[in-house]
Amino acid sequence: MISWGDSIEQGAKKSKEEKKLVLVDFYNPQ
Amino acid sequence: MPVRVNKEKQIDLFKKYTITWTPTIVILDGEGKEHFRFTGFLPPSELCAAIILEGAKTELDLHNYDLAIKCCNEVIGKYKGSVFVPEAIFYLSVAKYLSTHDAKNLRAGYDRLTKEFPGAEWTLKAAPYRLIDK
Repeated sequence: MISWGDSIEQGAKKSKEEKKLVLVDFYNPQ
Repeated sequence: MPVRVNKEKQIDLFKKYTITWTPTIVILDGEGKEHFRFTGFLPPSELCAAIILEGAKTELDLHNYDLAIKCCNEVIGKYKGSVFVPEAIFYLSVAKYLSTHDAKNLRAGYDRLTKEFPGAEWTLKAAPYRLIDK
């Protein structure tokens, strides 16, 4: 199960620490 | 690091990244710099292949050639039949070339594409590599 974050800034910070990439899913809930 | 951005709640981020249609997936590095994006719906296995391939291309941008090779091989080996396999073969040959500076890798990619995917878009894109000696 994927644990999604909702902050690009935090995702980038964590990704820098863990030397990984950030995958951002822009979606429309409608 | 997976992040979801909801259009109704985070419209400012849609504007910042110039997202005009959903779903759009964007790959960023640890500095927040965008490397690739794609828009539209895909079946689950194709979506996985697409994400891994975009990751491979991003690692290529970042000069992490071994990781790029690993990701391309994953798309080719694990997602046989995927529409993204020809592109993965193309970028596998590019990553191997950048890693070794041996142009024979580009030629090998072209030969493989010609054999397995004649007429495909990525076979056409690799066509100049036919001029490289085997």
